Amino acid sequence: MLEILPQVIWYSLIASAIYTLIAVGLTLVFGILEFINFAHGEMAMVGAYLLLAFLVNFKFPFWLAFILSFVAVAILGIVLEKLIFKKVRKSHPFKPLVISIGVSALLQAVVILIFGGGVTSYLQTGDQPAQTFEFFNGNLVITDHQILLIAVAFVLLIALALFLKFSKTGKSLRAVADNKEVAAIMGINVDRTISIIFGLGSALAAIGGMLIGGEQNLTPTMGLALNVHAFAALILGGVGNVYGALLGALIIGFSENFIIAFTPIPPSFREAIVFAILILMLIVKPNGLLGANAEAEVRK
Amino acid sequence: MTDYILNLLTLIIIMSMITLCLNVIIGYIGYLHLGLVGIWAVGSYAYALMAVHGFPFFVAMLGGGIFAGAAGLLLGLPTLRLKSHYFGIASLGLMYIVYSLLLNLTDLTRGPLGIPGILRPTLFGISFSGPAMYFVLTLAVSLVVGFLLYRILKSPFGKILETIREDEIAAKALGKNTYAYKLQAFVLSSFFVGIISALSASYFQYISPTGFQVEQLIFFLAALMVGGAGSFWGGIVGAFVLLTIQELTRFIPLTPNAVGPVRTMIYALLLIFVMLYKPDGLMGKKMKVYQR
Repeated sequence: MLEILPQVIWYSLIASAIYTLIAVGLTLVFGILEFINFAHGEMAMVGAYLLLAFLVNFKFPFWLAFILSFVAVAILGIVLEKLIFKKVRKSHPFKPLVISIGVSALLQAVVILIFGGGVTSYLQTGDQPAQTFEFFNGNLVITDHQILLIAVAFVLLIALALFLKFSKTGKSLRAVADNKEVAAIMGINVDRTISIIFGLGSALAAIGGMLIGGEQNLTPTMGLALNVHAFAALILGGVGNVYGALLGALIIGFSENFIIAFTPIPPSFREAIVFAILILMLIVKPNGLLGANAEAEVRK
Repeated sequence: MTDYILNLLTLIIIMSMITLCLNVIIGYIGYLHLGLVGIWAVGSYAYALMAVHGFPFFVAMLGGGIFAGAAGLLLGLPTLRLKSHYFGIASLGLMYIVYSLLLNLTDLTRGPLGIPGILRPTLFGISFSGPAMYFVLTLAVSLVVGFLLYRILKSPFGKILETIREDEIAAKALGKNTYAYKLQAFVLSSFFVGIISALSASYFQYISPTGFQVEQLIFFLAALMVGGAGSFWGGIVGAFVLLTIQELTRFIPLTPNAVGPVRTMIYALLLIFVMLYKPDGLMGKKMKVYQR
């Protein structure tokens, strides 16, 4: 039993890194607009499929395909915000939530129409198998792609933290998240800032999707599953808090993988486990681990 | 041709009744109920298993209702204290949990294989298996369910539910135990979904876990929003409109693989446009939930 521990920890880390990348955009949007963006996970899905199209169908070099994919998804996020979510910004959170469910279904359907509903993968027949490194007498196997994944996620999150803390745009993002009206009075362009948040969040989610695409197979429903994990991370960590999202993602990633590895619960219960944690958390401690007084927000 | 129209009408009635049950939650108490498909699945499987094991039709139907109602109670007890959109996320969890259970409890549900051979009933010596007779049965059961729900929603109980949607604090200030009312409405809605599940399961004569996923949820949400949440006839009209559109898409030449996604695309676009430009739907009723 114990000999699989290093491998399970490693997989948990990978999962947590991906969930963090997706949860960051979700938590920023949630913090500012107070609505749950169901379509956010689809950004990861669309990013992963765009990379597939650029790499396999158009045979672009990897770096070009990577940049094109996440820029395209960032633009998609901004367009969706300008076209749809901006119109319902001031309404009850019910309305944008229902609309984002529609957007999510729409994006999934479009991807199924173009790429088919089945399972696909970046690995084509005849590709080089991934380079692997072994530790702990072969109990921990790490591929070069997984190292890249962790490194990219780590660098991006540090860059994001620095950006939010020190850059002028980052400061205006935090100001808008804190209080939209006062930020507008102080001369911050709220519309532009919200567009930046959607673009940034979508790009991060897309990168998350592309990275996980190299680990698992791609399916059109992967976005919704990722969104569920990211949302659970966000609630666990505390709403609207980027560090909370990181902490929540770590808890979700570890508990999910440990439960599946060490209990007889089959892997297809993944989403069910995450939802169970989420519902439990909403009942027991709705303001999250790092959140301020969100309890009044969550409960009636 | 008559058979085709009768089958379509039967399907429209079944789907509009489920949309009506969704309306009780979304339209009347203003809670975003995304667990509907999970409750529908529980009801369908309960009915199907009882019917396949030889229980009489109405007993199995009641069983479907009771199991679905119990699922609703289990979901509602902890989550109905949450605000609407948090409740939405938590209730969506029910769909995933039920789906995982259906796939994995293979001894009971046969997993991904589903349950085939759910026969249409023979009651009082009359076989209801033909399209015409099954239509009559569906209409009869639906009229009873619809009438009951109509009376309940127009009663003082229904008015309290609407008050909860418009202003829960005001309802509390009037001395109403809003949590209890919400829970009662939720169990009621789930129970009737379970009753209708009996009709849907024996209409399709086959159920499998893949029939209870996000696609179906999008259909019901879009139907309710197009018809108009909060108006009694809203869900019914919406399901009628959506299924008519779905039948019209048969005339677009599509490859079999493209039919499903194109339908989902139409529902999703309808949902987005209705929410953006006519949030009170066809049977419009102005509500605070959408107005702020």
